[in-house]
Amino acid sequence: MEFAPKVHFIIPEWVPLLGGTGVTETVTTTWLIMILLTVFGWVSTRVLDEKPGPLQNVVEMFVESIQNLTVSSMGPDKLGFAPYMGTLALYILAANLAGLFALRPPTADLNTTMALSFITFISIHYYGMKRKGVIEYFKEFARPMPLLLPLNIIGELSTPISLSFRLFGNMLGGVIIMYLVYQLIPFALPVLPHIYFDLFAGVLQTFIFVMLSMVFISLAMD
Amino acid sequence: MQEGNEIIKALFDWISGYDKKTLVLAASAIGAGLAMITGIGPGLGQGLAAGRSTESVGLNPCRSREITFTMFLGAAIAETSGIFALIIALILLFANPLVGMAGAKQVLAASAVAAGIAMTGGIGSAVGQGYAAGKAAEVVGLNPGAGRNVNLTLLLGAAVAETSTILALVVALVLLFAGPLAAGEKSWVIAAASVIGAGLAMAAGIGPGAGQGYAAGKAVEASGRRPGHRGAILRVMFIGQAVAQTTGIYALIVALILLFANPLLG
Repeated sequence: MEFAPKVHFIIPEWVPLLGGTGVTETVTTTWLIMILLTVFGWVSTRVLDEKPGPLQNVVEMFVESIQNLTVSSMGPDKLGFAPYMGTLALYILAANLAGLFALRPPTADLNTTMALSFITFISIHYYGMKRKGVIEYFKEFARPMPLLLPLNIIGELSTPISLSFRLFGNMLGGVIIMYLVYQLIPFALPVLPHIYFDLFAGVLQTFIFVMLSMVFISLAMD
Repeated sequence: MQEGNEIIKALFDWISGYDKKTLVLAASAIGAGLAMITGIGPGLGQGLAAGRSTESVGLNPCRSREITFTMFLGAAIAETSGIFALIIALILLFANPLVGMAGAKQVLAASAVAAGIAMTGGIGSAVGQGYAAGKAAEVVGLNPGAGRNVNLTLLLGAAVAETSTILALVVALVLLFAGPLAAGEKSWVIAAASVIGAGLAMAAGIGPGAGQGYAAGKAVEASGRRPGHRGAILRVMFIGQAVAQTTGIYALIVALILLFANPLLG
């Protein structure tokens, strides 16, 4: 499969648990993004001033808009979710835009998107139970009538699947189509599909993933 | 009756007469074509969106920039089903995983066709999202101050309306990369028919997709008229869409039972 992530190197056999596992492009690109975001976070908050410089301005704008978005779509009592949502947004955005730098977006790998949606899935149910109490929370699955119990459970399970495959499908589509475009005409023409598949779809899917995570968690809580 | 059996037997013999590669590639060609039928959806939906937007610009010519922005945003989302179908068609044509897979050739060929059929479930999502985009463009024209609210509701509603297409994509990818039912000592007729049945089941996603899109459209309209009530509007929309998803989830369950816990193969 030429569209699958390339295996960069294999972990030596003597490493416990992980020995013999292939490390793919997805993992190395994720490491790169982690380093970049960490360095960016460190550099931008190293000197914080009352009168913010240009870099601090940008970062403050981002933090404020994430906080506003969290408050407006989850309610003022759930401002504590803003750091998680901001992290999610930064990572997914960086991952989706990796295609512009000739890297394979880590989000075009089901392992990444499944892991991300699993965090949201756990948060939905953990915070739902925390807020309402375990018994009360599970009672809700038998509403409006007990007959709907299996259906409600399957509906809940389809949430992380649709969440992860929405991001994965969109990014994989971009990877496959860009590969074919580069095979066809590797000069000038790929700019247009890059704008649509990487820039537009990348930003849009980041936003949708974060918004849906917010809405699902706050729906389970109140 | 006897004659009918003779014809079916001749057909099966004819299919089984081809070597594996030829049969799978031929079936992949049919599957790619079937997948692209999904193009009906984005075409219809985007037309709907463009029509409403044109009407809206005619009524509020000074808002044409906002209306066009909303229309493009909605139309781009309505394209998703078409792109998903295109992915499956391109995989079938350029990177077909079934050719090299072990197992009964007839079942592998059926998987290629079924993957194409499954993708047609995306037609509904695209039509529904197009409707929602049209409603959004209309209401942005009427109440431009609510533009941000409207676009946000549109994005969320359309994202949920996409669910059926995504489930169809999941089944199509399973069919292509896992090749279920192809291995083992079973009747290939039942296995191949089950695989095609799983693909047909996913086409039921047309209904939930279109219905959820309608709900998204109405939510967009409501949040354009009363931007302050967005939270309540979204809540009702999500609950309604979750109920509308039910038949699509039935379809997914039937498809997965056919593929992984098939009661007919014994």
